Amino acid sequence: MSSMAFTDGLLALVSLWLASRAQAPVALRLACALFAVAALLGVLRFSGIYPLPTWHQFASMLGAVAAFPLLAVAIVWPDALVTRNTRFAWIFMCVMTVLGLIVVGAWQKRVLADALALLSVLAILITLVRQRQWRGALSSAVMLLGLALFASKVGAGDVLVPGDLLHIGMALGLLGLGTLPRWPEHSGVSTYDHGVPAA
Amino acid sequence: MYAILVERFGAFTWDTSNPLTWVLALVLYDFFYYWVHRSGHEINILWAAHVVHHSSEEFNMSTAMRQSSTGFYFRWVFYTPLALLGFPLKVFLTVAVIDLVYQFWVHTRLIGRLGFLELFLVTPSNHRVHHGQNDYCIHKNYGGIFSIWDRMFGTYADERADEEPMYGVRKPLHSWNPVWGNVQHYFAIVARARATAGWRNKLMCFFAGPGWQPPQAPPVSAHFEADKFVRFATPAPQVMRRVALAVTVVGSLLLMYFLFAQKGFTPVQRFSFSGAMVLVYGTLGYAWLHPRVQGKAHV
Repeated sequence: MSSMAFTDGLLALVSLWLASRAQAPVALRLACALFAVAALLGVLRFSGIYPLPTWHQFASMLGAVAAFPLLAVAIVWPDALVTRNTRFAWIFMCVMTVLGLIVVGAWQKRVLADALALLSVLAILITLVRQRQWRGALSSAVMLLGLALFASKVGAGDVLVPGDLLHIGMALGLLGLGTLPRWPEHSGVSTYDHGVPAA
Repeated sequence: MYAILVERFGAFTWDTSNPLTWVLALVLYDFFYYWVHRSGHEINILWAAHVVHHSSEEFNMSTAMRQSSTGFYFRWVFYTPLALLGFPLKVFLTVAVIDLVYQFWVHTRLIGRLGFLELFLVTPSNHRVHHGQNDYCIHKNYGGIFSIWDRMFGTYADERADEEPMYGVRKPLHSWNPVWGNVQHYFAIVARARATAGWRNKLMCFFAGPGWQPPQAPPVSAHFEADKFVRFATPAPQVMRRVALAVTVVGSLLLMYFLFAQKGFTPVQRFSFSGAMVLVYGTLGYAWLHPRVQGKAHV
C-alpha cells in the first residue's frame, strides 16, 4: 500500500463531506463529488484493494477538465446560472467532459487538463485576493501549489511523491474554499428546473 | 471515438462467447439510450436534432426512418460508461443495431395493446403516446426496448382509449423540405436567443426545455387543443406528384447504391454524392410548396 492511498483517502473524505453539504451551491457540490469519485478510485488503486487504474485516470481527467472549472465558476461567479441551477451545472459538466474526452482522451493532449486545472485555481486565487478574502486566497494558493508541484513532478524527499502533494494541497484547499461564507442566501431550490420558470 | 475510449479507459475484459455479456450490454445500452432520448426531448439544443423524427404528423413505419442528420454529433457521449466498462466495439455496435431495429416496428397504428408486454417493453401502444402532442403525451415514454426505465423514472404513460394521440409537434414544421426540417429548429433557437435580453435567458434558449419562454415573451398556453389541430397537407398537381414519385424512387436507388459502394469512394466523391442527394431532395421539398405549384393545384 502506497502513501497515495492515504492522501487520496484524505481527499475523498474532504470532497465527500463538501459534496454532502446541502447549503453549498450545486456547482461546488458537483465538483466535489467528481473529486470524491476520482479520489475513491485512487484509494482502491493505490491500496491494491481493487485496482482500476484506467478508471482512476479517467476520473482524474474529468476532475481536471470539468470539476476544477466548475469550482472556479462557483467561486468567481457565485450567482451564475451554472453555480446555482442543477440543470445548468450538469450541462456545464457534460460540455467540459466532451471537451476532455475529445482532446485529452482521444487526442492525448494532456496539456489541456493541466492548463484548465491551473487556470481555474489561478482565477479563484485572483478573485479572492481582489475581494480580500484571505482565508480563501490562502486555500487556493495551497491548492495551486499542489497542482504546480504535481505538474512539475516535484516530491518531498522519499516520504511524499508529487501525487501525495497534489492530494494534500487539494484536500486543504477544498476545505478552505468549500467553507467560505459566500452563499448565505442559497436555498438549494432551482428556479428553472424542468425548463419552466418557477411561479 | 468509442473504440479509442475502450482502448484507453476500458476496465474489464468481457467474454464475448458468453451470452450474458451480450444481454448485459443490451440492457445497459438501453438504459443509456433512455437518457439520450430523454435529453433529446428536454434540452432544446438536443431537441433541435431529434425534432426531425417527431415533426411527422403521420405515425407509421416511415416515421421510424425519419431520422436526424445531426444527432450523431452528441449521442456517443452518453454511451461513454459502456466504453469505461470495456465492452468491445463489436458488442457495442451489435446491441446498438438491435436497439435501433427493435424501434422500427413500434411505429405503427395497426397494432393495439399487447397485454403483459406493456409492463416492461416498448410497444406500438406506448410509443404512440410518445409521439403524441396531447397534454398527457408530453415528455413520456422515452424507452428504446424496455419501458421499465420510464416506470422507474416517472415518465411512463399508458395510451388512453378516450383520447387518441394526435401526432406531431406543437410548433409544426409546415414544410416538405428535409434539409429545412433538419436545421429549422437550430435557426429558431439562434433567432430566439438573439431576440432575448440578458445572457442568462440567452443561455436558457439553448439549454432549457423546448417549452421554455423568455420572461418578456407573451405567455403561451401549455394546453393542447385537439379540435383546433389541423394536419399539414398541401395539394399538388398530378404532374408534380408524378415527378416527386419518380425522383423519390430514383433517389432511393441511388442512395442505396451509395451506401453499398461508398467504401470505395474518395472523400471528394462521397461529399459530392451526399451533396447531390441533399440538393435533389431539398429542391423537391422546396418546389412542392412553391407558389406556382400550389397555384396550379388550386386551379
